[in-house]
Amino acid sequence: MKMIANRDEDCGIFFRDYITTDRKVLFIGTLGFNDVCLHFPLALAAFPNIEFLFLVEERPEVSEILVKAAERNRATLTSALASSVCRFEAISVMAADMANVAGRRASMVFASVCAGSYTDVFVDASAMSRGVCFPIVKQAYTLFSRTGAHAHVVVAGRNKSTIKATSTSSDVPQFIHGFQGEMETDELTPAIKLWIPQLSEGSLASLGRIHRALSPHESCPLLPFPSADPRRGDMLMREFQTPILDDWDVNLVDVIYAHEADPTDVSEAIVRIDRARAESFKSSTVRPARTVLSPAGSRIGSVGMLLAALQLDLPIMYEESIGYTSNLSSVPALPTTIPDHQWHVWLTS
Amino acid sequence: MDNPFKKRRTELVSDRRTMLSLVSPTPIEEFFREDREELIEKLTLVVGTPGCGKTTIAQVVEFESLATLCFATGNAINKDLVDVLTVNRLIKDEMPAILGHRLSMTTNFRDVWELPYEESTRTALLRAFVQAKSVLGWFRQLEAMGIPPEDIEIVMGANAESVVTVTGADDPMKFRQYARDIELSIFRIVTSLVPPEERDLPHRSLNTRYDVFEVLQGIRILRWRSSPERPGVLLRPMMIIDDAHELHPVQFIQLRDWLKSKAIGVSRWLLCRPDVVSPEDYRDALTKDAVAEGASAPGSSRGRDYLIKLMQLASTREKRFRLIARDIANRYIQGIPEFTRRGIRDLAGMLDQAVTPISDGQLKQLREQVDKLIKESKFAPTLVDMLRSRIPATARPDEALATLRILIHRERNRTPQLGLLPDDEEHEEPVTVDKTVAPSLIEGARIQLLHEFDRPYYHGMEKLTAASNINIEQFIKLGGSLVDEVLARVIRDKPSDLAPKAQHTALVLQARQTMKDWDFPYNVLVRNLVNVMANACVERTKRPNAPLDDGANAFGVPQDEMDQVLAKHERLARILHFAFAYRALVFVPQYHCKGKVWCLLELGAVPCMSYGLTLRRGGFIESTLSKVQGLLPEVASV
Repeated sequence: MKMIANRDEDCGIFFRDYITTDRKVLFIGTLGFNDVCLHFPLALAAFPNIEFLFLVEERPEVSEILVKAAERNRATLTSALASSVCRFEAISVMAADMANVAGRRASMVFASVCAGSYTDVFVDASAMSRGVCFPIVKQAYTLFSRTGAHAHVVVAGRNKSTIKATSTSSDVPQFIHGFQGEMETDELTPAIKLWIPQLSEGSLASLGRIHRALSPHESCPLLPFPSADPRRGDMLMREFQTPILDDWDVNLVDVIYAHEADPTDVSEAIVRIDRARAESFKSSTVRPARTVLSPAGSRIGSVGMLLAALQLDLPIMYEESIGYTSNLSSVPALPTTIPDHQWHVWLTS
Repeated sequence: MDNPFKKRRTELVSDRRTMLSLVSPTPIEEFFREDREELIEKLTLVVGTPGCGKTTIAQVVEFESLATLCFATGNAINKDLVDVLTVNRLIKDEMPAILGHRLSMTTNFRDVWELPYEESTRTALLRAFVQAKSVLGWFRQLEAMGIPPEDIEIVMGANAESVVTVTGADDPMKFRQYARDIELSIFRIVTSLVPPEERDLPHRSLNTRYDVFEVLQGIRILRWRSSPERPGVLLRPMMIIDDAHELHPVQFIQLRDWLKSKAIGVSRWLLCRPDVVSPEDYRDALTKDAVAEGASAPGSSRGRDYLIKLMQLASTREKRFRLIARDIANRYIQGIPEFTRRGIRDLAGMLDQAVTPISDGQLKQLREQVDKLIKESKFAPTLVDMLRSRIPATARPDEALATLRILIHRERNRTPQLGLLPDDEEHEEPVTVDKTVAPSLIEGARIQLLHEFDRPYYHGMEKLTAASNINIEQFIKLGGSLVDEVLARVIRDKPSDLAPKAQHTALVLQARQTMKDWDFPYNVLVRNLVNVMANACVERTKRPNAPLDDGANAFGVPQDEMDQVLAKHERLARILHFAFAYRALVFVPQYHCKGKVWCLLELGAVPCMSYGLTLRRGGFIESTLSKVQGLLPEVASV
């Protein structure tokens, strides 16, 4: 897989030059409570040859104020895209028995809409949950081999979110739909597992459960550095001190640092490690070696993990959010500034 | 070896020998005590909350454990455990008799339910997947002990020629490869981004051609490469399906009903959390539980085509848990070099210390309160003496005084016409029944002293085991906080005895930290629910007349109302599911009291310690389901 990446203002230049009238583009975004879900749809609204599909992720427990914020964003999108083909599709994230069905349901929706002859599929990861976004991007990427449609990932993010919300994880670690490789088959039972978790604030318990479920032989936590807050990596080390030193048995030289707002840096770090590991194991053991990723926190860093997983067919284990809560009493006004970070990645074979 | 208290769960100890050395034989003995034959012959549902020890039992029964115990060279790993397993015929003639394998129901099994196929197809896929995984698991167990496929023989039952041909059972290598093919083809269907059409499914994935459980009789080990002098042995295959509650409820029922079949020659257990077991099954099991011991195995429901083993709940179990807890604690203590070097072997010895009474100043304050109360109540000294005589002489002065205060309040409440008495007239005869106060009332007095004077309450081995909710993981976690304290003392060359105040502080801090760390689904709602319930229980506990003796720690809901909720997938049921799983609440169904059948939503021991409530069962506030539902704020659903 090859990647062509654009960042910040280069994204707009790319769109202007690339989305010519002969292209038929499908844009898949999310209707979220965060304003970053609006950036790319609004930036692309002027192109008449783009159809917009917004997935509405339905979760059992979401604070009323966040629902109101999502409604405000819906009104903004409906108004800005009034002259475009635009629709909203609901996706149940959890089944009635609280099983995670997000990826599976999203894949079914994608399979149904992609029957049309699109030349390009843009997936906006800015506010889309990983369990929905990753399978769709993979589907879009594999679509190329069948239909020649090009897959693109776009992601926008702010250093500080305008809406402070807390995610509640399900307590069931599992592989993201379509990102399991052959993990848990008999063939891979003896695999030597390296786990790369992306550390983020408040994910201690969730990553602990993932570690317990995966039982990796080695763990290399990934810390954000450089970062908008230069001390963020240190603070995370402090938060994760107990698991890093006790439960996960991390050798401190194995801690990985990757740019907080550069998915290509995250991706390249993972690819480098996995390849070096495969090379060193090749002549020393017959046991298969696998690198398992666990994204958490910011979407931009997660996209880096997605790119690495697509490139090397790596499994990704995570816990889905069953809901979001917020203590806000009113919906904050839409910010007038554009997001701090914008990325576009064109995935080609 | 690391400090075993830090690992918290034996299943987290990756090395099998180390894990086995830490396992207490007592819960294994208890588990097999009455039902040893049926446990091997019939489908057994093993029901318990996380951390209750069911997975550890499953791990011990696995072939790798049995063989490791049997073939240990040098010092025996755990002689007591070997003895218990031998008595229960899992080990015969110093050889494993069972080829057990634990298969966890990962999300792949649950995902079979999501496939866009007919229900019969999904059921067939699930069965085939379980069987293929089981066969492969058995091979892995053998492989772990250095037994390659060429050293075994697959033993099939009569009239199994066609299955032998299809599955390649006459050649263990082929038999394994066939299982691998089945596993992989189903795995690919389940994990594909978009599953294939039903009509495109490969026929071999369906269990109409893969019913090995019904024909497989055993697996014979022809030779032991590691010790050639040992004879061959025929092993009975055993499948232990762990985390069965992760399946879709319909899948769970289907799997249970299929595994009940007498045609299946493989031993099989289904391990699950309590909330997936039907109310009828629970009732049956608990009814049997209530029958006198000896007449029936505690926590077992028999006389049907499957057996239910409840891993907790019964009061009889609580008594036995004390023995188990003590045994486990001492095994763990032996794993800590700082203790073994100093000859410290017993946790109870460090904890069972005389309680520190309240200070003299506080005692004086309490005495003045009681004197004032007597005066206000117009109780004659003879009446007060009679009340005092009901308090056992063993009670400490502060406890006796607090108990007397409760008795005076009770007496006052029964004498409503106090205001009618002339100013100079006093009550001389008690209205309440003259009998020695129950130990639970003394406990109530102690809890009131805790709230009023911060007198340590949670200390000693008995309280530690009560604080564990009959849950080994919780016991180790709480015990670990005390062991840390003792460890800090002995490293500084101080005596290993831990004062009650230090124990109480360590346990309460650990409880509060555990609650702070709650990060499970619906934890915010559970936290709110616990907070409201606990505050109501505290209010009831602190009432001057201690109406429930040692107070309340539960809400009681009519059982029939609760059955209806659990039968549906309502929001309350989902919230309770997590509250029970993480022991924020303890599910106590079928509780008979005042001629009614209640389901108690009992606060877990961790919240009880955080709020200063009794750890004993029985004191509850009568409520209804709608009232409990009213404690949960509504939320939006998008």
